[in-house]
Parts: sequence; structure tokens; C-alpha cells
Amino acid sequence: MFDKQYRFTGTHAKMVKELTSGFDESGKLKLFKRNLDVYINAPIIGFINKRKGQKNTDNDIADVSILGDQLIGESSNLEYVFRLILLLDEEYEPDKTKRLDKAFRYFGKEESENDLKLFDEYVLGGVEIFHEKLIQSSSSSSDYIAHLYDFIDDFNELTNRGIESKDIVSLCVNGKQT
Amino acid sequence: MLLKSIELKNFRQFIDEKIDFSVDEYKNVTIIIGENGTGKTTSAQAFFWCFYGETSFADKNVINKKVFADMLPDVPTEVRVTIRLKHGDIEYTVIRTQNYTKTYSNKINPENSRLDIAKKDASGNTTHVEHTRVENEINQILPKDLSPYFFFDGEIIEKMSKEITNGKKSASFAEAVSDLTGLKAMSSAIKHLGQGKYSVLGKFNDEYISDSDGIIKQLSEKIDMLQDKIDKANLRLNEIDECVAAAEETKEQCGKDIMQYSDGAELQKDREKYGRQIVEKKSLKSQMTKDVIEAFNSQMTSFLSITLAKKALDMLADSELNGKDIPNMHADTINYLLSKGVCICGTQLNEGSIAHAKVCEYLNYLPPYSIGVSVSNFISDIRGRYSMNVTLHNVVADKLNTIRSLDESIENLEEEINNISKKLDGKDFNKEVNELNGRIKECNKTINKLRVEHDQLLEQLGADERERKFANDQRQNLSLHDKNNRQVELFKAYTQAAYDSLNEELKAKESETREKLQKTINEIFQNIYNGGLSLTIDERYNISVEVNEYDGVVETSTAQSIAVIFAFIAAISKMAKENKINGSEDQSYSEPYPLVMDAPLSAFDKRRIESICKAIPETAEQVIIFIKDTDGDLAEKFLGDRILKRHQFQKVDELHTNLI
Repeated sequence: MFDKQYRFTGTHAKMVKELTSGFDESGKLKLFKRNLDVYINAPIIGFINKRKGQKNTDNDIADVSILGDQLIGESSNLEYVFRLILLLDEEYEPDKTKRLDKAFRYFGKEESENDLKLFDEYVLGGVEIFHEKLIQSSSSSSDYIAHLYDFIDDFNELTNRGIESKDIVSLCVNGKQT
Repeated sequence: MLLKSIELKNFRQFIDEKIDFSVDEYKNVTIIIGENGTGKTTSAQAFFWCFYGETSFADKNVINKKVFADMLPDVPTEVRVTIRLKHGDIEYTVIRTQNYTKTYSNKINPENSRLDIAKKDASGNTTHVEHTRVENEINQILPKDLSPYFFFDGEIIEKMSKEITNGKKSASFAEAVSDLTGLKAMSSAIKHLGQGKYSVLGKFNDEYISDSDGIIKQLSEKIDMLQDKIDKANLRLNEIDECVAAAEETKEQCGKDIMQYSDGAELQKDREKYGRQIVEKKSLKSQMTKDVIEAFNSQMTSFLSITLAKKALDMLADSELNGKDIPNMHADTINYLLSKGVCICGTQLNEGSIAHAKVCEYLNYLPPYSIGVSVSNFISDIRGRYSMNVTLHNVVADKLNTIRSLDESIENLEEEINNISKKLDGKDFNKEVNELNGRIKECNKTINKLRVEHDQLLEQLGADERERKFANDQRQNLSLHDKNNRQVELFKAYTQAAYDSLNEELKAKESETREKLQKTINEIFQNIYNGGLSLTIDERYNISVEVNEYDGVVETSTAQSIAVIFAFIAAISKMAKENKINGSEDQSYSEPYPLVMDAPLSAFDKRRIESICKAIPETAEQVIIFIKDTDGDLAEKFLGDRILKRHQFQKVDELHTNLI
């Protein structure tokens, strides 16, 4: 799991390319430093927004690849995101015990093939959302930063709703507070 | 003189147009509206061309370009301007025509223009003026010298405006006073009587009969020579005065320019400073942007997943998976022991034995049968991720605020630079300032040299005058011995008396006219400015304009000068009109004339336009105003019922204008 080359194709390849291109005058500043960073974070956004993308191909657009070695290097982050999705996607698996099994008992086993497919769909959905929010309608360097801020601000307000790191640490140490 | 109409045929952009003017006593205003380039100036110039055969256009060929383009070689085409006017009781038709031909090589070939005048007297008899006399006739209707005051000419505005702005002696005012009131005739008479060798007095000087010793002859020659010298010295003194004034003016202008350039040098420094500030701010902005991107890339996973992490932890806490798991072991370890049949402690693990069953039981507490360890590891991972605060939102908000304020500063600085650049217009200031300083030095040198010459001349002049007087007295004494010479002396005394008397009257009249002009101008100002502006002309024709605040607003100097010129022209017109009404018997006063003006209303604000529009028809007997379409509505509103005729120019194209 997360050890073989991954390819973005078609429209998604184009989007990832744009998300990882330089946007300032020097061409050095990129919203996402690596294709891998898009791959790690897109599924979170895809899942939170219930957006699954469908792979497509276009001969005119070159594929964008992430090498297996790179994936292996980031496997802890990828596994963390994958586990969160498997634990929390009630639409995909309504049975809580089965979700726990998917996230832990059978994680990375042969049974998890469909689960990986789900992950990839969220990756593509997330790529689409990133592209919509951060790239479309941005033209100047200031636009990119302003749109990035809008995205972060909306996300902070509508999704994170004041959850802070200390709340998470407290949950880890003490369990659920009633 | 009242203008009735003008007809333009093939004259510049007019192919065949006729403009009628109001000759009504009350409704005496004609307005002609047209946007820039429709031919307002052309139609004003058409009057000059018709009367005097001249225009102020650089291109002296007045034929319509389109007509010329369509002409066949060697077939002449006529340009014609016809003016109908009334002067005294006589109706005049003044026609100027000029034939143009095109050569086979497409060159323009103008013939001399021809002036024809037809006169219709009160009894209806029409006569044609002989060709040799037409120009004289025109000069009697409207002397060429006077025409610029009535056909409001751009050049005279500029000249007068400069004189007024610089507070210099105004030649235009001086000329106007002598030209308009007919004093020119008197000054010609004075010149004829007593100035120069060929004057009456000069002639008498030749009449002396020489005595036997030839002394009278010698004295006469000496007096002539000295008079010549004195005349020349006076001329030169005038020249020097003018040269010094011109040099002073140049010097002053250079000084002003230097001030502007020294401001310019400051501006240039500012521009460079702002340029550096922009570079600094852009670099800071770039750093801020980089910080945002760094924060986003390093914290985005934690930031985006924090809510999922919380939900996952809540869910796991509900699942009671912790407590029984054996840490750091896997089911494979147990399976290995079972397959070997021996426990780590050496106990045999035979199937069915209690020991075997006990070891098998551990499998339930180890992965994959138990997920407690995995969950525990997962929770540890989450804890590790959030042990540091996720500050992405705050960091980005802070940096973005800074970026926005930097953007704003950069934009302001760029605007400043733009404004400065417009002012500076890419000039090399040091070079310009050096050149100007050089010119000032030259001027100073010239002025000093001229002043020395001036003083020397004055000294010499005094000596020459004394010597001439002495020679004159001597001649007078000697003349008493001869009868003829006594008579010459007597005639000379009469001539001198006539000369002095005329001179005195001229001075008095001139002073009276000047004062009247000043008074009339100030009356017009009173109408327009409620006393906010006043003007004085001293005996040397130095003009000074005093500006008081007008409703708290001080006019720009352009509007001021235009107001002065307008008032000047209106005043002359008004004076002429009053003279006609008073039925002055004095032959020196001339006919009233129309006021034809390319109205410079756009220099004024709305309220001022109203006052000017109300003053114009009161001051002149006939008013013809060429006006920009943007001011047309205003003029029409304020001139109101004084307008009888309205015309509008419409541009068909650059080479053709219609009257609609």
C-alpha cells in the first residue's frame, strides 16, 4: 500500500500541474510544493466535501506522476489520512465495527482493495476542489494568496469551528469528555 | 458697420455655406456652435481674408482640399467669400475671389485674389467701386489695424495676455487708444508739423538766407547735424529700453524655469526614493508570500484534518478497545510458539493441554485478532501531530494583512511615481539648469553693457541739446539782421505754436480716452466680477490688475487675462457705440463695430459665464459668438432672448463642414 507509482491523468493531471506551478513573478513560489502534497491532502478535502472524482484521460495532457519511493517516504501521513477516512465514512460503510476493522484489522491487507479505490476517488474530488478554490479566477500573485486565505478562513470557520490542537491532545490523553 | 451675412464657397472646409447674422437692435446676438475642428476659427478668418486677402493659417492656400482633389488639370476653380454689411447708410457687398488651378503634376497653382465691392446707397442706387480704390474703401469701412479688436483674434489674445500677466507696458492698449479714437490723424499732423528734417519746421529751417560770412548757413548745418544726432540718440535710447526690458524678461523667465527645474530635481530625487521603496516593499511582500506558502505546506494536513481527527478520537473513545492488549507483540509470535510446541519458559505446548489452551487465549489480545494496539498507535500518532499548535489560520491572516498594506503602499508609490514622471517628462535637469544659468549670465552681460551705453548716450544727448540750443539762439540773433530771415523766424514761431497746441490737445485727448477706457473696463468688471477685479492703466500704459477675492474664489491667471482682454474688447466696442449714440460731431470718432468672438467661455466657471453672457449684448451693437458645443447650452441659456440667429457647424469629415 502506497508504495507504487501513482499517476494523475487527464483533467486532474492538468489541475495538479497548475496547483504545483510557480505563481509569483519569480516563478518560485508554489501553492503546493510537490505533487505528493496534493495527493496527501486532497482526499481530506474530497472526503469532507463528499466529493469523489472520476479518473479521465486526455492524450493532449501529459500524466503527472508520483514515484513509489516518494509515496513510501510519506506513508505515515498517507496512512493517517486513509485511516481517518475509513473510520469516518459512514456512507461507504455504515457498520461501525466494520469501519474499525477496515481502518485497523484489515488495513493494508488484500481485502482493502476497494478501500484504496475510495481513497483515490476522494483524491480526485479534492484535487477538483483545490483547483476551483485556489486556481480558478486567480491571476496575480496577490490573487493567489488572497484566495488561499479565503479558503483557509472559510475552512477554519465552517469546518474546524474553533477546534484547537489542545482539544485533540486532551482527547488523546483523557478520552472523550462528557 | 453691421455684418449681415457671410457666404463661403470652397473656402477651406466650407464648400457652399451661408451664415446670416442678426442686425436687430435688441436681439443683437448670433451664436454659432461647433465642436473643435468644425471650422469656427476658419469662419472668423474668412472675414480677414475677404477684407484684406490674408489669413493667419500656415497654409496660405484656402481652397477646400476635397474640391482640389476632384479638380481637373488646367481647369480653374474659384474660392469666393462674400460679406454683406451695412456701414452708415450704405449697404456693401464685399466679394473676394481667388482662382486655383491644378497642374498636370498635381501641384496647386493659386492666382492673385481679387476684391470687388458693390455699394447701394439709401436711394437704392448701386455702384461698383473701381479696382484701384477697393482697398481704400475697405480701409475706410474697417481699417486693417483695428480689425483684430473686433474679429477676436487668437494672436492678439496671446500677446495681450502676456503683457497683462507680466505687468508690462501694454503696446496693445496704447495702440488701441490711438487707433480706435482717431487720434492717429492728430499725431500724424503733429509729426508733419514739427518732427524731423522733412517736417514743416524742418522746411522752414532751409529757408534762411545766408549772411555774407556764411555763419547762418554753418549754424543751420550744425543745428541739422545736432538734431540728427539727437534723433538718433533718442531712437537708440528707446531701442536700449526695449532691449533691456526684453533681456530682463528673458532673465526673469529663465529664473522661473530654474525654479521649476530645481523643483524638478527634487521630484527626481523623490521618484528615485519611491522607486527604492517599491523594491523594498516588493521584496518584503515576496518574503511574506513565501512565509504563507511555507506555513500552508507544513501545516495543511494537520489543519485540514483536525476535525476528522476529533471525530475519529470521539468514535474510538466510544469503542472500548483498550486495556487488555499485550503491548509490542503480534499473533505471529504465539503461532510460532504453538508450531514449535514449546513455550518461551520451556513448558511443552501439546494440543489439548491446559498450557496450549492458555497460550491460544493470548491470540485474542494480539493483532490482527485485536486492534487495540493499532488504535493505540494511531492515537499516539494523532497526539504527536497536534502536540504543536496549528497556527496556519492566524499566520496566513497576519501575513495577508501585511501583504495587503504592502500592496496598497506599492500602489500609492507607483501612482506618485507616475505623477512625478508626467511632470518630469524625461528631462535632464542639470543640463537644463546649466543652460538657463548661462542664458541669465548672457542677459546680465547684455543689460550691463546696454546700461553703460544708455548713460553715455544720455550724457552726450544733454550736451548735444545744449549745443543745438546755443546754435539756435545764435542763428535767431543773426536772423534779426535780415528781413527774410525775420519772416522765417515768425513762420517758425507760428508753426511751433500750432505744434504745441496740437500736442497738448493730443495728450489731453489721449489721457481722456485712456481714462475712459479704464473706467469702461472697470464698469464691465463690476458687472462680471462684482468688483472682484480692477484694472489701472497709467500714462505710460503700464497695466496693473488687482484681484480681490470673488466669493472666496480666486481666478486662475488664464481666466483673469482672458477676462481683462474680454473687458478690453467689450469696452472699446462699448465706447464706439456710445460715441455713435451721442452723435458726436467729432470727426475723429469712428463707426461702431460688431464684436465677433471665438468665445473662450471654457476658461470660466458657470456663474462667470452667466455674467459675461449678460454683459456682451449690452456692450456691443452686434455680437457674433463662435462657441464650443459644450458651452453652447450655457451660452444659449444666459444670452436668452438676445439671440436672434443660431447656427450649428457639423463636421462631415476633416475636410468638410456643413451648416445645419
